[in-house]
This record gives sequence, C-alpha cells and structure tokens, in this order.
Amino acid sequence: MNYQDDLLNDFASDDESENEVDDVEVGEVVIEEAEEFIKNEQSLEDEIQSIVNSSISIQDHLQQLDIDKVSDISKHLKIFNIIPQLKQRLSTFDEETSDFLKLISNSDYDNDEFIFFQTANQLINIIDQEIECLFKFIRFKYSVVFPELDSIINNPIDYIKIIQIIKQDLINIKHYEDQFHFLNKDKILVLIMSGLQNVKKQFVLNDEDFNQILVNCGKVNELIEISDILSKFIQRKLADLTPNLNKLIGPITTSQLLISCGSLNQLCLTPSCNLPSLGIKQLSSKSKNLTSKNIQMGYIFDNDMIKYLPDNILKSSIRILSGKIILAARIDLSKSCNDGSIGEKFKIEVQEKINKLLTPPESKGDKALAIPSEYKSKKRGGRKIRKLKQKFQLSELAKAQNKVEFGKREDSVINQFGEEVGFGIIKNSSLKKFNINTNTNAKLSKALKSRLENNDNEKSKHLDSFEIETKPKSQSIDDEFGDIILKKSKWVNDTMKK
Amino acid sequence: MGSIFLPHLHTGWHVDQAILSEDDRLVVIRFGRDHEKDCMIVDELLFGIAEKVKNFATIYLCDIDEVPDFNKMYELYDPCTLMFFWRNKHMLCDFGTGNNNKLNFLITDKQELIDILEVIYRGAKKGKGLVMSPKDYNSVRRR
Repeated sequence: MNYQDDLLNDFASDDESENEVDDVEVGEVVIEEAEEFIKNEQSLEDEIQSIVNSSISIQDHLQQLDIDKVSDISKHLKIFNIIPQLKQRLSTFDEETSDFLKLISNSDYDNDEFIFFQTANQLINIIDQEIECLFKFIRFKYSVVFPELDSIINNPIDYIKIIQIIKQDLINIKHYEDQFHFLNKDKILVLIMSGLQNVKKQFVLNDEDFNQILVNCGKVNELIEISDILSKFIQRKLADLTPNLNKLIGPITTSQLLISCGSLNQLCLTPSCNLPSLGIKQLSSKSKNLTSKNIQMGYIFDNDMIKYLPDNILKSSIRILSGKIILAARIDLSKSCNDGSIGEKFKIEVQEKINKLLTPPESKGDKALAIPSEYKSKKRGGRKIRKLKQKFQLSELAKAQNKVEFGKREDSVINQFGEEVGFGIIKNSSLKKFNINTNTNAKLSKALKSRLENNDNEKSKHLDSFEIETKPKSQSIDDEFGDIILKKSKWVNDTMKK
Repeated sequence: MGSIFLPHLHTGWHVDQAILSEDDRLVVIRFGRDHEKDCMIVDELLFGIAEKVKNFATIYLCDIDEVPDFNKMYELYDPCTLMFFWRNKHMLCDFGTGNNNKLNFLITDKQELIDILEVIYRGAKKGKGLVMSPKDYNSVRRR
C-alpha cells in the first residue's frame, strides 16, 4: 500500500502548495475524495479481473450467439460499463512521472501500475473480440441494404466508416466519393459500381432499425478508441520494461510484438522465423497487395530499419533483424543488461549487415580470353582413364576373330538371325591358348554390392510374410488360372510340334 | 561512345608504327568516320570486345578524313572498314563477300567478331596469308 499513501500525500501536498491555506476541512475533504477514488480503482480492478476471468465464457457466448434473435447486442458487451473508469485510470497513470523500471525493481512486480498494465494487455484482446462481435451484428443487419459491401470491404473499421458515410443512400453513392479517402482508388471504384448495381435489390430499413445500426457503429468506434488508448499506454510502459529490445527496434515495434505474443516470456519462446509473420495486415483494405513479392509485411516490416530498404534485400534483412530481436528479448527476460547497451550493440550490428547487403557487388571487368592455339594438350588420361579403357578392351579371342589369314577361307556359322559370323583365325590357332581378359568382367561397386545384398534380404523377408499371410489365397488363384495355363501350354505344344 | 575509349591513330606514321610495333598480336584497325552511324555501331562492338581479346589482338581507330594516306591504297570508300595486320603483313580473310582484303560490312554480334579474330590469329601464327571466315557473310554483302 506504499503507493496509495504516496498518492494521498501527493494529493494533499498539491492542495497545500496551490492554495497556500492550511485549511483542515478542505484537507479532510480531499482525503475523503482520494479514498473514494481508491475504492473506485479497486472496484475497477475487480471488474476487469472478473471480465478477464470470464473471457472464455464471453467467447463461447459470442460463438453461440444467434444474431437473428438478438435485438440489443450491447447487453452482452461488458467493456462498455467500465470505459469511463478506464479512461480516468489511464489519465492518472499518465500524469505520474514515476520511473517505471524502478517501480518494477522495487516492488517485485507487485505494483499497482504494473498489475493494471498487465490487465490492460489482456483487456485489448477482449476488446478485439467485442469489436468483432459488434461488427458481426452490424454486418448482419446491414447486409439487407448493401449485401456486397461485406465482400468488398473486409476490414471492420472501414466497413463501419462506410456505413456511417453512405447510410442507406445507395443511389447517390457517387456523391460521397470524396469522403472515401481511407480507401485506395480501385476499392472506391468497385464500391461505387457495386453500390449502384445494388440499388434495385436494396431493402430500405425503417428508421428505428437503422438507428440501431448507427448506434452500434458508434459503439465500435468507442471501443476502437479505448483500445487505441490502451495500446498507446502499453507502448509507453513496455519501452521501460524491455530496454534492450527497445534500443534495438524502438518502443512501437517492441510493444506491437509483445502485445501480439502476449508477454515477454512468450516472445522469448517464439522462434525467430515466426516473428516476421506477426501483425500481417492482409485484411486492411488500404494496404496494397504485395503478396506476390513473397515478403511478410508484419510489424517487423513496418520497423524504420526495414521499411525503406529495397525489395531485393528485404527478406534477408528481416531475417537478420528478427534473429537479433529474439536474442535481445531473452536478454531482457534474464535482466542481465538493464541499460540497453547490448540492444544498441545489436542495432549497430544489424545496420552494418544491412549496409553490407546494400553495397552493390564489385564489378569485375571482362576476363580476357586465352590466346587461341592449335597445340594439343600433352596430358593424357592417367590411371583412371587407363582402367576405363581396359574395361572396354577387346579380348584376345575377339581380336583373333577380327583377323583373317591371307589366302585361306575362314570358317563361319549362321546364327539365329541368319547372319554369317566368321571365326577369323580362331580355328587356325586353336592350339594357342587364349588368355581370358579379366579386365572386362562386370564389376560392382562396394556400395551397390551391399545394397543388392540388403535388397535380397529384405525381399526374402517380404516373401516369407507374404506366404504366411496369403497361402489360402494363392492356392485359389492357382485354381482359377490353372485352366488358362493348361490351354496356353497346349497351344505352345502345338506350335512346337509344327 | 566506344570511339572515345579506343586509341585513335592520328597520322599515317602512327598507323605504320601501330602495325609495325606489334610482334605477337593481331592489329585491327577500323577505318571510317567516328560520327557515322555504322562506325558508331562497330566502335561500340569493338570497345565491347577489346578487353576480351587483348591477349591476341589490339584495336585502333583511324579517321579516313584525318588520315587520307591509305584511302587509295586500301580502297577505303565504305563508311566503316575493319582491316587486320600481323607483323606488318596485311591479313586476308575470305568472308564470302568477294572482298577478302577487309571487313567492310556491318557486323553486329560480338562473338562473331571474336571468332573471326581468333581464326585470323591462328592462321597468322601458322604463317598463312589468307584464312577462311568461320561464317559465310555472303548474304550481308554490300555491293
């Protein structure tokens, strides 16, 4: 409760210094107010905690929600009740100039602010869910008016903006063109075209129904606003929590990464290859479609170090940076370097590497061609080529077959194909013993030999199992095909006789 | 642009010296006018291969207006003419065009020119005065 006392003192002292009147009554009133304020705070904390705890049930609830039957969806949303309190709370924390890092180290994460900060982190997720839920509701209601809008605009925020601009006035959609500045040009064109096409099918809602949609749109905007405020708050505080990461990639990217991972602990557990994919805005209708470049445009891509690099080195520089990010995050988790010097060192390292990537390759001039010459190279094959040649050498028998004795008729036979094959001088020199040329024998490499042996072993294994399993089957197959085999053999025998 | 980077021969004496001084390399001289279109194309080509063939050929440019000494002897009337010399001897090459003395048609492929230079160099090394071009340029003949 140190913090609360401090706060009380603070309030009191402020009052004294401003008024310079030591009025006891006023002081008492102030203290009472402060106490009330603290009660409020505690109730807020409890409420947030209850919301956070019941977040799973909310999710389930949202999934089961039958939009048809729900008339007022805001009953199911819990954040709305606490928005003003949240804002108040945030403003108090903003006013304080306390060194956050000190607070953490002193009170061992038990500090009020830190707890609030953690719950705020969780709250953002819940707010996102509620936005989604509201959006579903709005989309369902509005689809009667402009069914195609849903497929043209994927982003809830843009969708709602468009509803607020054009309302039910599809016929005059062209007049609103100037207000669609948050869309890119082709999107606007498609929007107007399909809007004009849908005029015939349009079903005009009555004022009450449409007002409901507009009210919900306003609620979404409110939610977006509060989530913005919360994330900005987190951004500011996280920068102090993670000095190294902060030095490396700046507070914005740090907080984005931390929020998307959930906690520093989770970020450290994430492999670096997954970091670039965090925060990809595929749904945003303003971002141009760059998927063809195969670059993941997440939070890291939006970092100042990466953003302005040319396309060809984007991928590798993102990889370099994300590797260092994980290292810095782990250092921050272990608290081994609280002044962020290692983060700074990493940053310089990454920048050096990127600079290296940016430098154009050294241009090597044309290599001069060799002087053309007619000389044959003196190098012959060597041992390997000689062995290879020996492999395909003619045997002595074949050589003898190729020779013919002068003035004598060579013996010959007619082979199966009706070709005459001469014997050359083989018969004449039959007394001579021909050496068998072992070089030409077929040879197997060691690897092939062992593979063949293995194969044989495996085959025999398979055959064994095959026999055991399908003995009865194989017999039946024999029976079936027995006739055919008999006929075949008969036919073969006939031809043999002929 | 190529004509800026390649060495020019400004007088007849320079041309003689260039041909005489080279002992083991082919001397290629382009006769023509730097500002004419064909010449520009060929100069670009020559500049492109100069570094590659520097081991067996040197390339010079000569303006036929600045040095008219050889115009009659070598019949230099074309906008662009390439001539080859080996140890103060004029090398002939049969391009199939009918004129073996010089390359007076527009050649646009670097590799083709390198091939021609190589063939002439080989022939010159063997002491031949006339070599056959690797490709027949009959179809690109000018006149």
